[in-house]
Amino acid sequence: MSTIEEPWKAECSRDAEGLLLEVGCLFKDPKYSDLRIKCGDRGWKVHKAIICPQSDFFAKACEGGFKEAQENLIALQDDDPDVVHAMLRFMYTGDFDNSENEDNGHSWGMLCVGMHATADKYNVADLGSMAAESLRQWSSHFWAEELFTEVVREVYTNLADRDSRLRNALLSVAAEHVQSLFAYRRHAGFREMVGTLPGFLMALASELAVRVTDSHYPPFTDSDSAR
Amino acid sequence: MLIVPAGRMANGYKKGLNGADVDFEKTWGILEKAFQEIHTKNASALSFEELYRNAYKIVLKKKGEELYNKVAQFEENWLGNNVRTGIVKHLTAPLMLDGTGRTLNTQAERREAGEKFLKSLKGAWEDHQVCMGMLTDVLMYMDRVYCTDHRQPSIFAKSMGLFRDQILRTPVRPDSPTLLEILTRIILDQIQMDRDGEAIDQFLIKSNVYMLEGLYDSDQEVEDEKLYLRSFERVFLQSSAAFYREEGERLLKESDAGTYCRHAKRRIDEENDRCRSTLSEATTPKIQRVVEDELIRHKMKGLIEMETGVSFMVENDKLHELSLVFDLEARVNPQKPELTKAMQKLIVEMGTNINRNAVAASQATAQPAAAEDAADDAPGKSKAGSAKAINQQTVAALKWVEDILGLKDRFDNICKASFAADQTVSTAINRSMADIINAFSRGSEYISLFIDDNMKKGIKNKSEAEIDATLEKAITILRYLSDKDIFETYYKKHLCKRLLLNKSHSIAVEKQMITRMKIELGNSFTLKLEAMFKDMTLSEDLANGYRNHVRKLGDADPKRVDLGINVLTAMTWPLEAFKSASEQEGQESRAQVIYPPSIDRVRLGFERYYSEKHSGRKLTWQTNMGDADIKGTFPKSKGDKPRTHDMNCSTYAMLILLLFNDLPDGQSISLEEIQVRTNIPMNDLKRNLQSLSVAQKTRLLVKEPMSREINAGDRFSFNENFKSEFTRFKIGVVSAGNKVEGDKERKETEKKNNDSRGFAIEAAVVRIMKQRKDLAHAQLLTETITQLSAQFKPDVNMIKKRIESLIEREYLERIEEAPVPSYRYLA
Repeated sequence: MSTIEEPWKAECSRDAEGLLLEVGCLFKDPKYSDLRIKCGDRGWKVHKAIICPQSDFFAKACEGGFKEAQENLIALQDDDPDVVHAMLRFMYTGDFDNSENEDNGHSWGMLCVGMHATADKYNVADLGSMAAESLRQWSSHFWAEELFTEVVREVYTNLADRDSRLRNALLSVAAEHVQSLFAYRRHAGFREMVGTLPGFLMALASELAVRVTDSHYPPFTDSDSAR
Repeated sequence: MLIVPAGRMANGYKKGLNGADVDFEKTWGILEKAFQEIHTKNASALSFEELYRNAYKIVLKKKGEELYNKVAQFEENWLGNNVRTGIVKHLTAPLMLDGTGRTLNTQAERREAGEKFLKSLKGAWEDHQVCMGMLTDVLMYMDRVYCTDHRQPSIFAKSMGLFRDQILRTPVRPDSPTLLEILTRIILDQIQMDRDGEAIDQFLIKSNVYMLEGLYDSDQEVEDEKLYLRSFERVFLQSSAAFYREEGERLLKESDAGTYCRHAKRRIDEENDRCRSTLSEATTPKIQRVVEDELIRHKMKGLIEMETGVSFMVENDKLHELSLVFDLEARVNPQKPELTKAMQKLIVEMGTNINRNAVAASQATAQPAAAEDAADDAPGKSKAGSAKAINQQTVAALKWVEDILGLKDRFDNICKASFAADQTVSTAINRSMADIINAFSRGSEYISLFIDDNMKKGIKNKSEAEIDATLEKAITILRYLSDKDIFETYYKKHLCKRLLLNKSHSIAVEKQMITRMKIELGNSFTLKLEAMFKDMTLSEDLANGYRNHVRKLGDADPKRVDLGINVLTAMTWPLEAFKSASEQEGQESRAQVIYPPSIDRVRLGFERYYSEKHSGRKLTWQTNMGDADIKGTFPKSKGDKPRTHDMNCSTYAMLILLLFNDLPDGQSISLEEIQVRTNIPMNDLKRNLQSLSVAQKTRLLVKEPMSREINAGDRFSFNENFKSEFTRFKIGVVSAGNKVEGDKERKETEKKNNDSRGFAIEAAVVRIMKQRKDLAHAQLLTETITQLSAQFKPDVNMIKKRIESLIEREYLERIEEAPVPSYRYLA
């Protein structure tokens, strides 16, 4: 391979950021779309070229020998339209924020949970970890709210336990504020809920044990264990 | 400040995640019905989303394993009940074996039925692939979640295993073969048809091979346990081996070698093509190996030994076919052992023939020679005969050299044209050439004679390039010769005669030859030969110098005998070349030859002149090697003028004739008297008298009584009536040219050669020991042989004897305490 610098070529390349923006704009531009997605009362005109590479569910729906492929229409029966919207938006822009939905920063936590589940269902690349990260940030703001309790319950009761990213996010926030959560009366609801979730309690205890050990004893070293 | 939402969102998600427990049976029912549709090719009305969602829900509710088993069960049933029966239907009568393992039907029927079967199997396989592809799409979530977490093969892999078990491995009927066995048999049958030249549907077979390549022996899907490799390919290679073994044997019997080669090559190409078009590329090297084994590797020997095999090809110059044989063997073994062996055998055969012919030719002529030997002094008439015989031997020698060169050229040409100048083969050819040349005991002598003949006559009227080629020929053979010292002996002898008798056609070419030998055999080899040339040049100067010296003395006696002289360094020249075997005793008598005063004056004059120039050197006169130009005056007869003739004769003949100068007319001298007055050795005397008194054209003397042989008491007188039509003629003496040696001469040469070899060996041993001081016996042997290999191949026994002798003479001693026999150098 040649190592000669080719500055003249660099000037000819396109501004990558601009290109990304243009792709993002396609989300709202149905002009060249070749696939419709319906969910509840909402619908989107999207581009297979954008959607299919990011999710094998959509890929197979479009290329398999089923009804969807002939009609170029995928109707999502069991999903929440807002989650679907956020997912599609993510596919186009890579953004994961709630700027479109004002007012409900509060409910964002629940949306993250939904997003995470949907990412798992449709196998959308990067969406799951993005949702987990977002949930951690949301929790550190809203841990004192009742909704946090709801989210914990939701994650520990209904979400598949094979992906621990969401749980870890909630756990670390809970451990951080464990004194408040277990001391103040206004968190009685949280404590009541926790009582019904032995899995969560166990995980929380382990997490706390690690933290206590870390702050009171020097970390284990090889020479310690040898002794 | 954020406002707590109305709960729509939260509820929405709850619905997604928290939906009521799935009714497995009901959900599976939906899926099963859809799968049924997929398998009957009615999928276009199905909603992918619905199926995906249902499978997803089941797996989400941790019923993945149940779903997995249900799907597997469904597939098993489908394959076993629907698909298999459809295929078995195509197993028609022509495909089933009878008791003898062969079907009764014709090939065409078999082919057609086979194709139907293959088609149905191909269809079933392809359908299965398509359907399972769709099922896999629908069950993607199950594969991703359940199968990954529980280390289950994907449902696709599982269903492929089911296809293998349900379709291929289940016996068609109890106690009958499985479809896989039948499939293998049918494909083999079709391939056999293809080999027999019948057109088959290659693509159809290839599709079935694809299927076997897509299936594995077990559900673990180990790469080298593909069903194709495990079941089909093995049988295919076995049956192909059997087929080609049989075909090869048949062809060796029925066709000729050239056809066989072409056929083998075609078969290999065919099998390669077949792998590409009909089977699998992965099989190519394996089947190639099988065909090469059966048609080439195991048959090479038979092929070469065929009546129309390699020796036939060589005899008839079938260069192209030889190249086919070469290509075939080169394909299986870069060493080409069989072909190499065959070529060597041929060369040895043909070379031995040449050697035998040469021996026969020399023996055919040896009889008169032997007769002459037996009665050397008796029958004069055999002389002409034996001279002719010796000549014939020379011809045999020349023929031998030409034949050997011809043989080499022939095989070189074959090697170049047919074997792509292959290194291995040409090395082997060279080795065999060396073997046959060295197997011929007269090789050295014959090569030297070949050069001798060319130097004397052969190069006359030839261009430089032609002469060059001739010299190159000689060098070519010389290269093979291992006993170079013997060759040197002969060459010296022959060169000596050429130089002294002025027989050489061109001294320049002689020198060219020496230069070539120097390059080829090294400096030490040509040292003595070059010294001979030097002597010749020096002698010329010396003779001229002497002539000037005489002229300056002012002694311008016109009757003075002019002297031409060659002063030869004693050790350099093989002077015995001039003696015949019968005159070994002549050494001491030579010095005592009595010269008449006119000659003796010249001799003494030169000796004086020479000792002035080089003091301390002794000149020994080799009278037996000289010749003389004399002018003879004969009395006029019947009124003619007196006639004079210029004659060239040997020095001895001159001495004899001078006796008659002083003799009164009509007087005669007896043999004994001549001997006493000249002191010429008796044998030489008889020989010279024979040419002077018996030979028709040079009968200058009259012998009494007249007979062919010279006997004691014979008397000689001047022949006044001598007549010759020439004014100049030569009085020949028997045995002057370079001829093949007689048996006695040969023995002597050999003996001499052995002696000089002995010296060379001793010198080498001493050289080595002087340097090494202590050395093991075996090592000493090897080093000695290495040192001497440029000159000759020493005989081990001879080396041992020489070592013994050196020990006796206390040059070496045995080391008593050494673990292996060793010697020590004694300074």
